[in-house]
Amino acid sequence: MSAPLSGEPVRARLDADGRIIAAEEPLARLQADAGGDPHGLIAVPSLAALVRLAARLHIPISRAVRAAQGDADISMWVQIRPEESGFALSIVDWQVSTPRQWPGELGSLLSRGFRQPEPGWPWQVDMQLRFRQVDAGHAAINHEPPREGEPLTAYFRLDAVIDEDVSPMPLVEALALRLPFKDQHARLRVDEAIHYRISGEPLFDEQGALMGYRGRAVRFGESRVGEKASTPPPKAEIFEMFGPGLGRRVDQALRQPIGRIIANAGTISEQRQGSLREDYVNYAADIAVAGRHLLEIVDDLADLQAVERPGFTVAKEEIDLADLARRAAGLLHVRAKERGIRIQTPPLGEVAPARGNYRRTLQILCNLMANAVRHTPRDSTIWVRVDVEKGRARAIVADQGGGIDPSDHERIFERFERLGLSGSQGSGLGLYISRKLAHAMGGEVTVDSALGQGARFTLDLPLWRE
Amino acid sequence: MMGGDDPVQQRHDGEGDGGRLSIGLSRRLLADMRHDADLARLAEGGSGRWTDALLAETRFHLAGLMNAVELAIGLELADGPAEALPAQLGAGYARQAIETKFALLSPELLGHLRRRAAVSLLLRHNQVPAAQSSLTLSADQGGNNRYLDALAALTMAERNWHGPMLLDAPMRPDLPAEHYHDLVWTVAALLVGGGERLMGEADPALVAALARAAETLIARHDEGQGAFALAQRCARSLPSDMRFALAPAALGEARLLLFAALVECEAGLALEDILDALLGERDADRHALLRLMEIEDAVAFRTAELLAPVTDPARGEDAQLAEFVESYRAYDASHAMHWLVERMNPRALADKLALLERS
Repeated sequence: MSAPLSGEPVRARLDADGRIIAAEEPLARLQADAGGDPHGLIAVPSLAALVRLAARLHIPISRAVRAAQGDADISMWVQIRPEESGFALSIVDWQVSTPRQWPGELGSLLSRGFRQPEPGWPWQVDMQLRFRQVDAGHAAINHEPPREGEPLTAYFRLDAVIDEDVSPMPLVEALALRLPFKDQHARLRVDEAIHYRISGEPLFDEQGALMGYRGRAVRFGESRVGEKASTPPPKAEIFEMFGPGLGRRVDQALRQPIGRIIANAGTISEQRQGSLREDYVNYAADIAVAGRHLLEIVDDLADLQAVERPGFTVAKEEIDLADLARRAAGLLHVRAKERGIRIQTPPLGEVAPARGNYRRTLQILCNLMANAVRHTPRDSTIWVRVDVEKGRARAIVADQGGGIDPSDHERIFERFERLGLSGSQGSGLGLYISRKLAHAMGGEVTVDSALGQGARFTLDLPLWRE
Repeated sequence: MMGGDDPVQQRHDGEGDGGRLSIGLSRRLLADMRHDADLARLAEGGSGRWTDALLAETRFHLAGLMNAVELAIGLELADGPAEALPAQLGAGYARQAIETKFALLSPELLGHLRRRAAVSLLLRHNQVPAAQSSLTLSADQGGNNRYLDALAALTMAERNWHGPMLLDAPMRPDLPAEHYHDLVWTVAALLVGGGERLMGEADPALVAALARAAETLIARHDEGQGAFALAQRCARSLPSDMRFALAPAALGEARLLLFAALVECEAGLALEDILDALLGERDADRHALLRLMEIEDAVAFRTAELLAPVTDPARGEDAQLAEFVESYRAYDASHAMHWLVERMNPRALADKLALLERS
């Protein structure tokens, strides 16, 4: 927080709509802290109300207003003078008080009732979830605080937590519904051993439009005096929780809320209830994409539980790899078409009889082709070939992407490995699960690639013999 | 967007409840009725929540303010097509014309005039020479020049209010912006009406000239020089402990505006709301404000006595005053805190809570 030099007025010029043309530092800082754009409408509600009054009546204004800035109260004497092409704003008396001085017994009563020290550090983000205000200094957080303008999702990695009683991703659900949220689990991206619990509430402007969120980030282990200390999520929490009830828990705890998120975000992005600002529509569409991604993770987690079970096996039957390759390509047709990618499948009539599980093999091929669609350039081609040789049936998926360094060929089959991916691209489980499924069918998934030369993934299964 | 958010639908749903009026609607009706009653009282001297003294003081302020605005508009009209209008209508035309057009006064402007008149009336009856004022003496020891300057400006502004009650004299229109805007257009409208009456028809050039004059007055108004603003600046210039120290002195010297500004700084309520609570019908509101500022029983007694001419003269009788102090003793800090917290709730929440109580 920055206060002006004693007695020095703080000046700003506004255009006829009340947008800031220029503002001196303390006011510019107050505007930023309130989530406002440096050249947008005044975002401090009490100041904005005065500007509107001056604009409506075309009359100079000179009066006191209060505003909150971080933990402090700012009391200002504001003068607004309408001019030919806008307004001249001047703050001639800037008083900072923190906290507000309540009289006598009232103060102690209030402090007992409402002023418990909050754990963690406060943050505020704008509509794009970029940090606008952070006060991490006093909390001795022992790591780099977020920079102003840095996206929250670039600073924190948000974790889904499986629990029947809470939403797995409270932040995502709250964003879609413009609601407060609490206990969003997150890790620092720079050091994923540092876990946080984030809570926040939406900020709205005078017209009711979302301006951003503000809240507190509490490091695991930090808590209010007298409150049970929170503990970090257990090591490898997702896997530790795998047990006989996982399927039910996944369905109850994840599918339903994520389905709601996708449905709500879809409703907003498709503007079924009326037109919206374009950035809101895009924002909702992003939330829907993120929701679908979460749903894919749910699927992967369920599969992961299955493939990691000791003695995991699958029923084997006669399958045709060529037919399954054509089916998988059909399933991915829309996604590929969006990027102008053509999937060239084995011609009709070609067969590659193999011994495996129909559904699981289709799943592997879908995963290999989805990876190819994700990595290959726009307007390129993915080839899917099958052949039968030396008692084995093979399906080969080849793309024209950037390729994979040979030193990474084994790493990409590890759990949660998302080589070169970011954001909502993949869970890092697909290849791991595919290989595990192939093993369960007596087969293998391998890669042949070099940097800059595309990648060839091969699913190898035993040949079907009567 | 959502059907449930449609206020029309919500209102319709609400009316299904036995046809009971919504609290918002009943509040508006009540406000309209009260405004009508106030206007009637102002025009005809009917009974109501106005004491005779307050009524006379309000009319004095209204007349003085209108005279000043009319005079200023007349100066702006010089050398224009409507130059002769003020002379043709005669001095004080707007003040006399409003007597038959009280409905032109908005509830907000009338409410402000009532508060202003109450403050002025109490000052008129309880003048303390500047040299004997403990407001000056207490602060002087601290060497707070900012406060002393603001207090001097406030004293001069208040002195303008309680001069001789001559209805044809102008009074400096040191009103808050919204009320000044309202008053200027009220006077302009009356002058347009007067011009039409003189000429037998509307003259667009005259209307345009009056509108330009009104706009000019409005554009150069400085609400920061009004007594309300000066009282606020006075209170802002003091540290918190001095505000508590000066609050009893402000009440003792009938400086209601200064006292309200001190409360505003400490409690965060709006100045006009504090004045309404001081001047209103409920003793509990006065108790809360006094307790918030840690006012002693003796000063509370003196305050009740002071306010009686504007609240109800009967409240100034010995038995009533004793009762006031007794109930004040029972009204402790926790009561005051609850009162304050309730008043700081958003209005919409207060409406809903009231609705819950009624259901």
